Amino acid sequence: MYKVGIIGDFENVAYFGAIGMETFSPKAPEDTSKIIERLAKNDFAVIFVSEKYYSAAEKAVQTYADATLPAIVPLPCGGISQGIAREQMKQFVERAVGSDIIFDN
Amino acid sequence: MANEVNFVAVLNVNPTRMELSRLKKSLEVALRGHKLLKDKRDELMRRFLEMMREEKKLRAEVEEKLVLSQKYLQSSAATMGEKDLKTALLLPKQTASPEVVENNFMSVRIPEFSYKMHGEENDIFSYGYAHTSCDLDRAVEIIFKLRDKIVRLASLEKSLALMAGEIERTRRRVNALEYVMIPNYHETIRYIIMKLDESERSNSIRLLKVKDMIILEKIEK
Repeated sequence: MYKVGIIGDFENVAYFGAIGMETFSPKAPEDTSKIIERLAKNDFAVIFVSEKYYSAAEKAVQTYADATLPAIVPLPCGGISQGIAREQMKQFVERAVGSDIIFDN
Repeated sequence: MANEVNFVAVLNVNPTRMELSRLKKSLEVALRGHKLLKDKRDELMRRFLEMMREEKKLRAEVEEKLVLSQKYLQSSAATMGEKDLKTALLLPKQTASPEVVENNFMSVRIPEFSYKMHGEENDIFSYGYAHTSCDLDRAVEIIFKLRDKIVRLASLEKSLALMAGEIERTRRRVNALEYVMIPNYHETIRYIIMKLDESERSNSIRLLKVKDMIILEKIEK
């Protein structure tokens, strides 16, 4: 059975536990990659990562970029969105189409 | 076009009839492959853009609501104190497991998630209401309502990532076939036909010459 987890500061992500997600709080941003790798090996299909930790987890994100599972998705945690997901989607459009025709306006 | 770089080169083959028929077959396969890959690329691209538009809308909605819920959360932390907030959320009543369906779209395996919770239905509040702020209830309720959209977003973003890679690979293959392999085959086939014609002509000329020589010899006798 697959699981869904969220990584972020405890005070920001603890309330996701109320809807059944498993929450993880790295001690330092550098630990995020290790946590993601551990979760990926433990049947986590979806791993949400708070934007604060997402950029520090580049390595793990790259490792699972071509795999169908798990999906590693950045979410704004802490009351403000930094637009990391938008940046990423922009890159995908550029990669697929050649130039950004969706977000470029 | 004057500036276009010319990649066309005659392949390193012997100009024989066998080689010619082999190349003709290869050309046919390359043409068919090119058409198929082009169709695959176009369809992937169409679906990709469609999904990207959906993702853009969904991402904006999800982020807006999440940020709102986090504001409620912060306000509840301010009124209750961090410690009480942590205590209230320490033991969740629900567990969740997403259902995963893997779809094969144009040979890209894209996942589709749906959120399934195991616990009493709608029983999401893991705390008594006496010592908690109503802002916490609001925050929890917002993400409870948002759960399906969040996992939909996850499956969209994962699919887009996988499709972007596949589109790039397919485009490279299409271009390699269109601008390198197929022109090379054409050029090589032309080269072999020319070579064969040339040897045919030289053969008939030789025969004519020999015939002339024989006739000349006979006349001289």
